[in-house]
Formats: sequence, structure tokens, C-alpha cells
Amino acid sequence: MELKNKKVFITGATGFIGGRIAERLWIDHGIKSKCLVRNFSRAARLGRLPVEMVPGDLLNRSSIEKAVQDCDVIFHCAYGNTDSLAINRHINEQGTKYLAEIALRNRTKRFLYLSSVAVYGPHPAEKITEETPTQFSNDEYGNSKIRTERICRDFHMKGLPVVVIRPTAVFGPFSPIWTIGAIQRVLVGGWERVQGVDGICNAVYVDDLVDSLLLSIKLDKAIGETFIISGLDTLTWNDFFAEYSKISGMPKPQSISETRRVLKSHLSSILRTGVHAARKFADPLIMDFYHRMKDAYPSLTRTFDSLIRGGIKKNEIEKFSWRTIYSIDKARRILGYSPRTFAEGMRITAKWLRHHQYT
Amino acid sequence: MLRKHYTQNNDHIRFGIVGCGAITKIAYLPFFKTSTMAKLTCLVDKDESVISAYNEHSNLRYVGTNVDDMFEYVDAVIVATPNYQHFPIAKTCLENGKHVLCEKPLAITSQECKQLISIAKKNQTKLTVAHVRRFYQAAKKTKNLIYSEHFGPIKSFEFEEGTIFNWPANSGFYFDKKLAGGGVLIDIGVHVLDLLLWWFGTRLRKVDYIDDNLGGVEAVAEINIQLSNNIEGSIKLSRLSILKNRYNISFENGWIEWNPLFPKYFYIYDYRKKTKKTIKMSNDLPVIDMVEDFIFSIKHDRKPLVSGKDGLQVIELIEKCYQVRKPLPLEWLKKN
Repeated sequence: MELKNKKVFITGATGFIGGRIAERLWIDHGIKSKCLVRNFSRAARLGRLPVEMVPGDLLNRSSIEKAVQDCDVIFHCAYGNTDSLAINRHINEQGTKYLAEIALRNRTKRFLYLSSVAVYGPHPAEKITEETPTQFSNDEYGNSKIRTERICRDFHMKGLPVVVIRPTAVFGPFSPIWTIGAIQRVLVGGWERVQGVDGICNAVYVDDLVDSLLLSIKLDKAIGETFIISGLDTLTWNDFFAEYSKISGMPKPQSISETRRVLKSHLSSILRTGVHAARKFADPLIMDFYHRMKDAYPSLTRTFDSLIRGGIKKNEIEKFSWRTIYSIDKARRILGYSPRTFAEGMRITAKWLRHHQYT
Repeated sequence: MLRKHYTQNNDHIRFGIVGCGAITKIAYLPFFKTSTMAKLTCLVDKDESVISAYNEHSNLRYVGTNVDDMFEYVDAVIVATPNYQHFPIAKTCLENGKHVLCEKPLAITSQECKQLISIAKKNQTKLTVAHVRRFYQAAKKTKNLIYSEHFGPIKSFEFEEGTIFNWPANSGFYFDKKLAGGGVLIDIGVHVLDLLLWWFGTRLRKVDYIDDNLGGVEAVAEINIQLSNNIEGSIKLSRLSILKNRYNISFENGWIEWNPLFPKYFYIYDYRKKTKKTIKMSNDLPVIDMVEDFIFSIKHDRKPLVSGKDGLQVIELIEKCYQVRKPLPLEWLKKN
């Protein structure tokens, strides 16, 4: 199916990936999407585009019903991100059911669900393909993605043309975790080369992910399929963070032993507790003092920030040690998916970071 | 004669507020809780569900959806609606002889601003705009230093202001050009440009302007300005990232700088003495100072610190920027 003149509805368009989909649809295809907006406080990026903002959330059936009725394509990127797991689960599952029901009734031509490789659980095998069984675990985000995928598949059985995309670690402009979070981490010395921790980072540039979604619309053979979407290069988390250190002008992350990491981690934990307690009693005074010090002695406050932040935490060691590789063979074969190199993605990301004064 | 004369200091000015959104809750309602100079008598909002929350405040004379129904109970009106409603509501209020404090921007076109100024003049009512930054101690100190030429003539200026947009907006009006009049330029930019014009005067020679608008409203804007006395400067605004947030002015013999989001400290560098000084400013209460300035202007029949003309000049400069607009070259937004 060609995208030209198609009407598109996006959930999660105020977020990182949904926002990029809306941008690409407008810039590359001249499509003014309809975008579900739950919180207008987050809509500044989306507001640059000539999109139609539909107020409401996934559980607001009437607003979705009205917005979706003439749409050919639905990108479903929204997910519950409240503090309550129960509410998130309800938003993800009930909301997806509503959306899929309405889409089925309206004979929507493509329903693209943005899932995640989190469906494979926290102890993935060394090589993962779409055939690898998904795994429930204590990660509620991954569990919810598994359940929502199942809802999508049920609707596919009823006739909804569903495609499920499972991206890996998505980086690029506006990526809250793997770009903004990563640069902020390296800027306060939050990454170090811990001996024995050298896991594989399956990073994918955001536009490669969007390419895979657009290819899934173009090619009818994608209907009913699930695709893992990762980047071209096999690199480690150490390589990944070293690149952010490079573009931020920071020294290369230091090598430290596990014993030293543990000591640092304890020290930062004690400092953090102390600072939190002090701020409870005298916050304005402490922040005033901090701002003045930051102006007068920037390197000293950076060292202090680094001590507070600490390096890699205990609960991150396992995640950053996995040697898992997520295969993109199926996406290459069926979609003709052809991601750019990590270096190219980082080149553009570095420009964005500079423009937004992160570096 | 529509104007009422307030000759006694204990006369309360009776206020109505039109628009019960975030700014009213955050800024204006707290003012009236403690004010001894003014009394809030009416609240108006077109949204019944919003206004119904205020019905319990039975000490108000009118709580409802119709602007006309409040006029008999008010001397002055605060217009705190979405931007596109500033003009029609302020116009009705002024035509009914009410003094108006209008949230920024005064209106979304210069034509509308001119009409409001003309009606206010004709009806002898006060018209002011919530260019609240002028009431910061740091803004006043900046003006004094410029006019006293303490550091000699100005050489250049660099203003940057940007945070990640998180205003508790209930609707999408902020992102609709017809309703908001623009993006970050008419939002934060109004404050920055007002200070620029207040500090430096309006002798503009050239304006270059670029932004990231792709058919909606801009979230990032950059302005280069040349003043007639060869002073050049730049302004960067953003709703998408945290910028340096500083107003820096370089003079022949030093520079001054302060953070508009944290205006407690004022930094001065003197080239002659080779010293950097940090001055701690007294606590700012800009909204209180602004509303009280408006009340004084009504009571004592004098010009408010921010006049309708000031509001007009900012909108004229914004219109100029949009006229000469060029797209911000952003590689990550290019066609794939």
C-alpha cells in the first residue's frame, strides 16, 4: 500500500518515537497526521507540525472513535507511564482493545503496534529472533508489551491488518533514555568500564525504526508479522557510551575493578541520602549555594555531581553484561530493511545534542 | 465620563478576572487573597466545567460564562484567556469603561493592539500588559546600569532562554497559530523582546530571524538584531531544551549577566578593576508589583509601567520577525 494521500492516526505522538513518525510523515510524505494528545504540556515538539491534535487518551473511546473513523493507518505507540502498574496495565491493554476494535470496524488498512524487545524478558539468550519465545518476568513493562501484542494478534485473527515491531535500544534526537539520558550520564561520570562488564548494545537509530514502520505499510507481506528492529553494527555498551563521551568532550570512561565500583557505589549512596535529607530541611539555601558554586567553580561541582550520581549501579550490571544479539534478518528479508551505520546515526545525534546545548 | 476617580487610598478597586486557567490559579487568585488595595468580585470563564469549581466562592458577585454580566460589579478586569481572546475581551471591557490588565501578548496582531490603545484612550481607561519581567529587581538594575552608562556604551548583547515546555495547558491552543499567534516567539519571546525594547529603545536597524516551524508553531527561534547605534545582539529561545538561560550585556568597560529563571543573582564584571561581583537581589514579587502598579495607575491617574503602546511595540517586532523568517537549518529534520 502506498502512503500517498493516506490518512494516519498516531497514539503516543507527543513521545519520542511517535513524534518522529509524525515528523517523517509530514516532511517525507506531506501527510498531516491526526495525533492523540493526552497531555498538551508535552506537545511542543509535535506543535511544530501541521498535525491535528485530538485531545484524549487511549481509554477515551469516543474521541478515538471520531478521530479514527476515516484513517487508513494507525501507529500505536502510546503506553501507560503513570506511577501505578495497575493503571498502566489497564491503559495498555484496555486502551489497545478499544483502538483495535474501532480500527477493525472501520476497516483500517494497517495497524502498526510498537512493542519492544523487552518481551524477551531480563535473561535473553545470546541470539534472539522473532521465533524466540517471549518470557513473562518481574519487568512489568515487558509483560505488558507481551499482553498487548497478544491483543493485537487476536485482532489480526479477526481481520485487522496488524504489524508488530519490536525495537531494541532506540537512540537519536529526543531519545529520553539512550540519547538525553546517555549524555547526561556521561557528563557526570555515570559510565565507567567495569572489569567483566562488556555486554552487547543493540542500538538502533530512530529513523531506521521509522523506516521499518513505513516499509511495513508499503509491503502487504508484512501484515500479520512481527519484526525485531535493531541497528547495523554490533557494538558494546562501552563503545556506545564512549561515543557519547567523545561527542561531549569528556575524557574516555575509566576502567575500574568491580571492588572499586562497589565502593564508589556505596559512597554515592551515602552522599545521596545525605543531600536528600539536607534538602528536606534547607532546600532553598542549599540550592542557592549549589548554583553559586556551579558558577564560580564549575569543575568542582561537576566532581560533586559525579560523586552523587555514582557509576554503574548494582542492578544495572546484569543488563550491561548481556551478550545478546537481536537478529534483524527477518526485517531485512521481508521488508528490505537497511539500517544506517551507528557512526552515521551518532553523527546526526551529535549535531542535535549540540544544537540543544547538551554538549 | 466613564472614568471613576479614586481619591481615597482606602477605595478598593473591584476586579473581575476573565479566564480561569493556570495563570489565574498560579498568579492572580493568590494576589487577591492578600491584597488590601483590590477586591476580586467576578470570575468569568467560557467553560462551565471550569467555572463551576468557583461557584462555592459565594463572596464573589458574579461567577459565570458571560463577560457582559460582570460589568456592573467591576472597575477593572484581568484578561487571562488564550491569546486569540485577548483582543475581543479586552475590547469589550475597555468599551464598557473598565480598566484592563491583559495577559501577554496584548493581542496577536498589531492592528488589534492599535485598536485597543485607541479605545482605551477614547474612554480614558488604563490599559496595561502583563510584561511581568519588568518588575524583576534584576531587570530594573539592568535598566539603571544601561542608562547611567556606568560601564560605558553597550557593545553587544546575548539573551538565551529555554526550558522544556511543561506549562499545564488544558487545550492545544498554544500550538495553533491562529489561536496563539505563534509559538515560542510570542510566548517566552514577548518577555524577552519587551525587556530588549525597554532597555535599549526601539531604534532597530535590522532583524534576522530563523525558527524550526514546519507548518505549526515554532519551538526554537533565533533572532539577530542590529540597533541603530551599531549594537548587535542575539536572542535564542526554546521550548525543547534547557538553554543557558542568561541575559548578558557587554559594555565597553564590563559586562552584566543574570538568569531570567533564577533572577536572584546579578553578575557584574568590571574590565577596569578586573573584578567579578555577584549581587544578591532582594526577593522578587513581580505579579504583586505588577498588579499594584496597575492599581496605582488607576487610583492616581498615571501611566502604568507597561503601557498598551509597549505591548504594541513587542507585537510589531514579532510581526517583523515572522515577515523575514527563514527556516532553521536542522539536519535531523531533513527529508530522508
